[in-house]
Amino acid sequence: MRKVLIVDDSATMRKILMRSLRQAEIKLEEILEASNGIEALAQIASNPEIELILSDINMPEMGGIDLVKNVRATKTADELPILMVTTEGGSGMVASAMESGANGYVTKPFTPEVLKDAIQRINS
Amino acid sequence: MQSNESTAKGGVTKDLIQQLQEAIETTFSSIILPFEGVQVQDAEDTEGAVRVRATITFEGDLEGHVLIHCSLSGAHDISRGMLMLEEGDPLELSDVVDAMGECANLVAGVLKRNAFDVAGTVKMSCPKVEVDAPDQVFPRPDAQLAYKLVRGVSAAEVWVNKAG
Repeated sequence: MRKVLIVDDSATMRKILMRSLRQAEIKLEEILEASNGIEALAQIASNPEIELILSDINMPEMGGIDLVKNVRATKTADELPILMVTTEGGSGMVASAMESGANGYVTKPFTPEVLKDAIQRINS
Repeated sequence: MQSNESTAKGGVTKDLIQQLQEAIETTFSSIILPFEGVQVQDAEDTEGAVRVRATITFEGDLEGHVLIHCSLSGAHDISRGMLMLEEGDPLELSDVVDAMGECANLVAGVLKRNAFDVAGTVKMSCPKVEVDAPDQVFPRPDAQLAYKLVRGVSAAEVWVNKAG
């Protein structure tokens, strides 16, 4: 995998995700960051090498569900997988994200192993 | 040295108290404690030295607050643990504020998922983090402490407003 985009309004959670990816020994060339859906769309437009998006749901400006809808307007779930990383596990918001085209979700708090399993399921 | 102490008071059901306990312990054990670099100090540090407080308000069929509080040094320790920092890695106050907010967010998220959503529709606020917070937490007379967990440097409390 070349590039992963982490989308979360919490700088702490972005750092936790970055360190978790490293601890899970997922080989990456680069990890990109965005703090909301609008920033994420700009990153995607300027970095066509992004192969996976890890996104929160509740964010200011543009949330994760709208981000999924925008991405799916141009890219299929196979072309650019999106894994939701959220405290909203099992809620209606996760269901909405999945209906909108997210590939899966991980509930916070998570371990590096759980994150790795979820990513492997998407890529298998 | 670590210490665990929990206290529950009336006004909420036993099931809810159990869910609160599980939610807080799940978050504390999975996010804060296992990460390398965390230096958990004595539990006495939390009492009488509240310097950092992260609060999330919940409203709806159940109303109240989720609160994480500790000393400033305790907040640094928690933040270093959450961010998986190694000794010597820099840590800014803004990092501590963000990490404490995220800590409260995680506790509240687990509570919402496992307890509050069962009780009905509950909406959570964004976390509010105060540094040099005053000792007095909730002046409103209708709030009661439903659950409190003290672990290491930090304490987590859930306050539920009495039905009007």
